[in-house]
Order: sequence, then structure tokens, then C-alpha cells
Amino acid sequence: MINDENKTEIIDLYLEGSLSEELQREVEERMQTDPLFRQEVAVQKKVIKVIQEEERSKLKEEMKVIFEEDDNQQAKVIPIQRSRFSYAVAAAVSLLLIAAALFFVLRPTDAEVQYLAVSLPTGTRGELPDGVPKKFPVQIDADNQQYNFHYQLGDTLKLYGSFSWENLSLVFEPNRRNYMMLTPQDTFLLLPSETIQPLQP
Amino acid sequence: MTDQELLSLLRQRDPGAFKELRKLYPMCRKRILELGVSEEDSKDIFQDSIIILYEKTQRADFTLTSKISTFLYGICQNKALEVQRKKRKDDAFKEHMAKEVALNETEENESTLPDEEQIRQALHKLGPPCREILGAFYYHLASIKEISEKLGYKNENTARQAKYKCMQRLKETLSKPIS
Repeated sequence: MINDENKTEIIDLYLEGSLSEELQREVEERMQTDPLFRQEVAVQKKVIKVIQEEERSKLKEEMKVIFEEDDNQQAKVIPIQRSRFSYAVAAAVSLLLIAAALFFVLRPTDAEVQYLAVSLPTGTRGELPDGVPKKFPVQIDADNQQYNFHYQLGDTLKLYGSFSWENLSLVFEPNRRNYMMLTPQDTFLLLPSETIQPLQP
Repeated sequence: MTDQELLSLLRQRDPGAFKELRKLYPMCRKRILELGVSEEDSKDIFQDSIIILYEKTQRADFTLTSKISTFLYGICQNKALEVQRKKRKDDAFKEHMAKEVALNETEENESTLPDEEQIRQALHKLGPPCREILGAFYYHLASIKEISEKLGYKNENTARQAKYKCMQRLKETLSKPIS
């Protein structure tokens, strides 16, 4: 039975198509005989439509802000063009020792210091905390006989294994004050230590 | 992140979900451009598609039956086709004619109803608590229980009463001339 107290809720359910058959019949009969009620249903329908449009616009604007903040964060991660660096190194070395230049070109994964920018994890806002290096020197030693998926985190991050520069990034977790290394396959926790440790997700 | 985890984050409007979905733009962009939509419109269509995906996840009966990337790709494609259809003159004409017919057939004469701008103004006059509760209920499809918990009402009944009063206030405002 429709009354003033439940009218709004019943109209909601009617517009959703969720009323029982009996109540639906009652609403439709009343709409035919009561012009004020019919108007109220039409107004409520239009109001709901506008509310949905307003909220949709608001969500779209929120999404744009999220994307802008994401763009600003991504700008902090400086991609390293390894090949340019290698060519620059090879070119410089080749002037002095041609054999050494060939060595570098043929075995590009030998230890060379490069830098990775550190970023904050997705969803975190703001700058890196004070005292946390924003750029980290990283060395890759791909040909080490003893270690093949290990690391050592001191003033420099040394990686042991066949890592690809293009796929690495460093993230700082403010809550745990830890560094994480991201690859396409996994995320690895990096703990500072003077010893060489295995990389673990 | 698995698709289910991503969906769960999206339902909560977690910023991480939107950032993750954004990575699918290149794939959707390619298809949107193939359908003849401009580069400028393609970004808008992609964002609208994410909104549509969000709206679907709010429905209790929604089940993802494919990968999210495939699903979103489908939404982008349909949205792009819709945009292209609207741009075509003959469809615009047919749409215009359909609207004329619909106007003549409405159960209530549109001229007696407040227009959308009047409703928007009345909504803004309501103030934040009412706008929030009505937005949560009618757009984000939150239950009264969820609204009660999230907006800090004493109990579900109080939240239900608040929602009813907000809607009543809105209707009363619309029944008066808008200044």
C-alpha cells in the first residue's frame, strides 16, 4: 500500500523495475488516476538522472586528477638509455684500447655504474622523504660465477645476474622504509647489508 | 594484480585501479582510431569507458566473464561506434525524429517538469551531506547499510530517514520557482 512515508522508496523500486507484481499494478493504476502522483514519478525519474550525471562528471574529474598525479610521479622515474651509455663508453674506450672497446660491446652486461631514479609506490602522494636518495647508483654484474640472482645494497645497489636495464625500476616504501625493485615478473624487497643476498619477492 | 583484485579496487574507487586500467589505453586507442575517431576524442572515449566499467562493477548482478582488458576493449569499441553513429547526419536526423515521437508519447508532458538545469541548481542548494547521500544511493548504488556505515549515521533507519528527507527537500525546492 503506497503512503506518504514509503512513496519515495516505492517510486525508486518502480523505476528500477524491482517491485512485486502487486505493487507494480498499484503504482501503474495510481499513475493513471492521480496526475499529481504521475508528476511525482516523472520528477523523481528526472532527478535521479541528473544526480547520476552529476556524479559521473565528478568521478571523471577525480579520475583525471589521479592520472595527472600519476604523470607527475612517472616524470620522477628517469629512463636510462643503456645503449647510448654503452656507445658513449665504447666510443671513449675505443680511442684508447680497441680491444677493450670490443670487450665492452661484446659483453655489455659487465659492471658499469648506472643510475635509477627512485619513485613512490602507486597510490602514495607527495615527495620522497628527506634523506632518501632520489637517484640510486646501480651496478649489474651478469658474469659473476658465484652469484646469479643476488644483490648487495650499500651506497650502491649491486645486482648479480642477467638483468635488463629497461625493465628495472626502484620504489621506496615509506611505511616500511624499504626499497623495492620492480621487474615485469615480480617485486623484490631490498634490505641494506654489507653481504650479498639472494633476491626474494 | 589479478583481474579480481583490480575489480575489487575499482569498486572502491581506489586510485590504484584507475592507474592500472590506464595502462590499457594503448590497446583501446588503437581500436578507437581504427574506427575513425580523432586522437583527441579517443582519450575521452577511453575515460568514459572506464567510467562505464566502474558503473557495471557497482551492480550486484555483475560478473566478469572475460579478462578485464577484453571487457574494457569491448566497451571502448562500442563507445567509439556510438560516437561515430552520432556524427553521421542521417543518424542525427533519425535521432531527432525519434525524440520528437518520444516527446509526443511521454506519460507526462515535459513542459510541466523542471528542466535539468533547474534540478542541478536545486541539487547544489541541498548542500554536501544530502548530495553525498543521494549520489551514493543513486549513482554508486550503495545500500542503506553501506551509506549508514560510510557516512557515520547512527543506524540504517537514520540513514534511510536522511535519504528520504533529502529527496523530499529536493522535490519541494523543485515545486517552487527557482531564483
